Amino acid sequence: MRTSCLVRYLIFTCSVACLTAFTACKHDTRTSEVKTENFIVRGFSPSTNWDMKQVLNLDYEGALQNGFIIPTVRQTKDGFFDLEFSIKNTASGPQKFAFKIYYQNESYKFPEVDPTDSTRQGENAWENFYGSWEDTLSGFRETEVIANDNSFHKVTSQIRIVGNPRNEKRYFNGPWNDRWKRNPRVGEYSFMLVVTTPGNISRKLIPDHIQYINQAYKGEFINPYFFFVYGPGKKIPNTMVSVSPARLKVMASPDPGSGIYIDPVHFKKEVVDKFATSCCGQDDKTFRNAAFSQFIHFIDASTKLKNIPVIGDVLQDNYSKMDYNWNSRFYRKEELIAATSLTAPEPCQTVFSDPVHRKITMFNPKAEFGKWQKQNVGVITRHPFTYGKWTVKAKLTELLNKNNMWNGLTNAVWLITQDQAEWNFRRECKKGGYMANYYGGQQDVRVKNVGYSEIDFEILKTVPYCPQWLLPPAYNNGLDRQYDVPAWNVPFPEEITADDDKITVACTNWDMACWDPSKFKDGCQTISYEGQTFWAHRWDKNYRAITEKTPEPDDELFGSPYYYFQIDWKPTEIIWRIGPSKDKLRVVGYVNSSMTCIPNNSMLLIVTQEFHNTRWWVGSQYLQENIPFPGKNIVGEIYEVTIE
Amino acid sequence: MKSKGKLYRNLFIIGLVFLIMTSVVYRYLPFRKILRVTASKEMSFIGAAKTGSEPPNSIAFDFEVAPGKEIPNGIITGNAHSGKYAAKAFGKNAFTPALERTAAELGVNKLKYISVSAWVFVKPGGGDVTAALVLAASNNMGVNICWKGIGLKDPLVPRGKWFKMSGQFDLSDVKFGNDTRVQLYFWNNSSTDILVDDYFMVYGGPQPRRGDTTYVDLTKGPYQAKFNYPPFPVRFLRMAEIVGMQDASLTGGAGDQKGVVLPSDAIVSGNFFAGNAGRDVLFVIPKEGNPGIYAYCPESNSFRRSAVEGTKALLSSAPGKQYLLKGKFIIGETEQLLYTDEKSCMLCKFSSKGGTCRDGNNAVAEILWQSEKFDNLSFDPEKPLLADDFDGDGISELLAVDLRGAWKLYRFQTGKAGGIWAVIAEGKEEMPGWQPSAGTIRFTSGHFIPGRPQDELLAVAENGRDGKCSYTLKVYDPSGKRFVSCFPGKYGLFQKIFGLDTLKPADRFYCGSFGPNGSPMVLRYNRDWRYDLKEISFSDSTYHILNNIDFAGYSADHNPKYYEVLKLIPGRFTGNQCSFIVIGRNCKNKDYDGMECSEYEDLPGLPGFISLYSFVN
Repeated sequence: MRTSCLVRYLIFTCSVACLTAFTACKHDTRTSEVKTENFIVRGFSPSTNWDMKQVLNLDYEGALQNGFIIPTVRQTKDGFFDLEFSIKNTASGPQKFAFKIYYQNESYKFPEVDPTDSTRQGENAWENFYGSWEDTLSGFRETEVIANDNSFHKVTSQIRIVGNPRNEKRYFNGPWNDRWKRNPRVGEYSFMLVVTTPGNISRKLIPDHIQYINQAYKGEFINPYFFFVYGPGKKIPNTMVSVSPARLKVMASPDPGSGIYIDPVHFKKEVVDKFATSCCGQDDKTFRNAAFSQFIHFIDASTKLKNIPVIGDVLQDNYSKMDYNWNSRFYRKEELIAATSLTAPEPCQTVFSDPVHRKITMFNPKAEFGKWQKQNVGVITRHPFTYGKWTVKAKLTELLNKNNMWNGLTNAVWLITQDQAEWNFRRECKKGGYMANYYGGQQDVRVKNVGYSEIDFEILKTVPYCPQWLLPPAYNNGLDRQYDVPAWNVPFPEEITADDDKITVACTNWDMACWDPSKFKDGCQTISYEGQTFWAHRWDKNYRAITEKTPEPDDELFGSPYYYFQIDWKPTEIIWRIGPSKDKLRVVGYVNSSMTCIPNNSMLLIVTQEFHNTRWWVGSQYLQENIPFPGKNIVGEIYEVTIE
Repeated sequence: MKSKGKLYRNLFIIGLVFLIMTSVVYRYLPFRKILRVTASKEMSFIGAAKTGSEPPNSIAFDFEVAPGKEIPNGIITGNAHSGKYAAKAFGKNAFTPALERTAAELGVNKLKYISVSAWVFVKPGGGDVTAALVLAASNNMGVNICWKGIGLKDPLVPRGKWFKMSGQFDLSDVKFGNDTRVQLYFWNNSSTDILVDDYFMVYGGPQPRRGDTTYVDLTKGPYQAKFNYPPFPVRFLRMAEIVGMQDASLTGGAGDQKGVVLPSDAIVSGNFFAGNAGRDVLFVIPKEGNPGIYAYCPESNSFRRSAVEGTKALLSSAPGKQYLLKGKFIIGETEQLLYTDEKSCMLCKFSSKGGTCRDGNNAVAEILWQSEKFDNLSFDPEKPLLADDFDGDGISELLAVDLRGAWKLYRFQTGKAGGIWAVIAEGKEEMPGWQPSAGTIRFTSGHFIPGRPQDELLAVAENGRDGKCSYTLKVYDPSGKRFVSCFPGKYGLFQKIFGLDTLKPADRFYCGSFGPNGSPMVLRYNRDWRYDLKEISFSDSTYHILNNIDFAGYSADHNPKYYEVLKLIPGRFTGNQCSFIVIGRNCKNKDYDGMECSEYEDLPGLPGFISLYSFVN
């Protein structure tokens, strides 16, 4: 059973791929003839008014309120794809035909069929982003009466892809369908044409929950692709199913130059009005157009550190390990500055959107005597997506100076849940549930669903967690004996100095400690991907995240004019890549659903430069509190973000 | 009924005995993993583990066998991570020789945390690895009281290459006695052959910072400065780029001309030469070699050394401590040198025929006055002796204070036999606050308060009984021929002290035109615990800490404050602005306590240096 099912799935996938390749060569995206007992269909084209070879860049205009619409009136003449196909009536008399068009995101989907039982829909296949005409009360449409004249008759229609295509109530806010809560996914879309006879419809051979995709069957949505390609739908007489070889490729490019919106949650209007600029604020124009907001970190009060009272430009001032060691030993408690890391007290002062160069510049502001600060800075996108290959081209600050001394910052490129509200809950964790809260600690309750999700690049100076027999390194913290320099200026262990010029790229998936994955495990475990082996680490079975760490040269990532960071978030795996150009990315982290729960809710992208409490990073060679407050603004720039 | 009571009583006694026995057994045969290897015997054949101050609180042990010794059991040659020898743990339940110390040797109070590391080589082949790097402790009866290990377990244990293991153990729940034995060893519990090398143990854990409370808490509100309480702003002394001044050389020349000046040399700066635009020069009597004068030459932006003729008397007088004072003791443009040692003292003036910057120039020292005794008192250079212009007439006086706090003020009078030191004023009674016998006291003269024509006298004392410090700031009253408080009648005898950083007798004070435009500054230098240079100012009631002083512009990470020996020599070397010639060295003697260092060494990354530093903003 399993074999036949798999074979069928492979055949389907291969045939679609082959068709795609074939037609790509021939520049013909129309389907060939498909015969049924009573009719022949050919020439199905899902879009006669859009060149499928062209990537459709999502139109951000109005997307915040309405969700993304594919296409918009700025992309096709009337904001729809014009589809057409031709039908030849081979029956004994003239008749109408019923047809329906479905689409499905093919890049980020679960298999439609259960690999262990070909009669069953694949687990989670109902989560796939599929849709049809957005009016879910509209089932199959009928053609005009078509004569049995041995000739093909053209049938046309229109379709567009919108968010919440099943019009699920969970994404509604009162009467409003907040389609943005389930935005169309990026990647490739297939289009499936189903043509049948009105009689089949009236005889309910195509059940309502397939005709009307908003309807569930026994509490579960049935993916029409499963129904028609694998399931009962493929055996319905006089019914033709044609998946167009032409695929629509969709990507999103939030424009860093489109402005920065200030969320009223963080700053009141009167404050924003005081500090707003032409490209940063809370006005209507910025609300409508800006693809980014200023990100305001949550600051956990328990992360208060007693910092040395030193202000210095670590990156430029020749700051050395000897400086670090002296400062670590020779300040009294009375001289320290107790503080948490901070967030911007005023909006628009540390983040700038440049519409000319289409970039965002941000900086951690410098400290001054009496105004000591380690202030985090960052921006967050405003339009959520589920899944996607999120790529950021940026020049974030260097983290190490020429002495390989760390400036205390963590450069982070990360995804975070759009909202923790019920509408954005992750799928149910069946084995014990999720830990309920991000900050909940060990005693936190477990719940079936949570809205929290996070996928991180966190790049900082720290040590690997694995293998476990090398954590923590045997540090000698030295003594405050001023007349014995080697007593206070103790070198790091050799395994630390061996990676002195490297920073750690930590790749983390916050799975909220759901035990569903078959290889869920605490401690260290390995996983291989494309010939590379990665060590993944989880502190304990209630720990909410799994992390992999790779040492990488700081000069390469942050000393070059720019670098690429990519989170490839798929339904069953996450791949972290970095590289000097988009075509030269290398994998630095990999997890899959066998070891960690991959989130399936809507997330946003954040790019930050932030000061972490190094106690979060066990075994770190430098302590944040022994690193100076910044003596100069520490600048980072974001040049391009794409979600594909 | 009675027998039943007896039965209960017996049962109670039996139960009690059982409980006691259980406790005893538990105490001495704890239900913990008991694994221990004897170490002392094997260790005796192996080169001693390296313990000591480099780095502190650590032991490194590389299993190297001392030359000529028989290779002990458990040690093999041929495959080692370092050196020639490694320890073997071949086969199931095999142990390497242990590194062992008593808790007393390590320090019982340093055993809350122990970090360990070792290098491990697992031979290819064999089965799965199950092993551990073990830290164990046993009491004086040989019973384990602690057993902790870093596990090494397949899958993914590397084969055929050396790799490191490390970890940290929290031992805060272990009760160590002086004779508790602490062992580090490797335990192989698998059939695989394993080699181990380079044990490393760090004990003591992170040392908490000194101090009590952090005052500034920005989570409770914005910073509000509190008078004299830290943190203080920082000002920087910036290193000047002087041609030839590099590393330990003041002049960049060779031999004597190299200008290597050691902190232990007798050094004084002064305006000793006429025609030198009022610039100070450095007069140095090295421990070995001939005295020299180092003068800054603006044309070449470099220092130039001149030999000093006529210093035979200085050199022949005495080995041992030499004290150099300078002052304008006679009317004229320049200052003179008052030299004292344990046997004699003399007053010299200097001259230079061609100027201190001319090639081949030698300076000439002319002795104006010389004596084996100073006045009628036996000379004791340990007693306070200060030279300054106390009466404000432009001529320096000498002030001597005895152990009782009585004092004499001398003025040099030229005349017969080169001149005499005449007492121009004295205080025979104990001067309140000036009694060195009451504890420790240090006198410093200088312009502590701007606007006065004469120098003031700062006496900082530490009470021998309770260790409390106090200070007085006095000025000489020429009309009354006495020292009086700078602010009479205002706050009593002693000035007030606010904040944590009290003035101490160990402080050195520098008064001068250190500011970027030659503006006056007062600096206090202390090294009781660390380098601590502060800018302060005196008011009519107290002193105010204005800034911490740090250094900038040095090469690499050779911040002068890191040096074990740091000498600051103030002077107007390059112009009107006072600057410091700074000499930094590290002491070869590991018991160095900041007092005397007999030999210096260059540490890796921290070589000796001499540089010129001044404030630029």
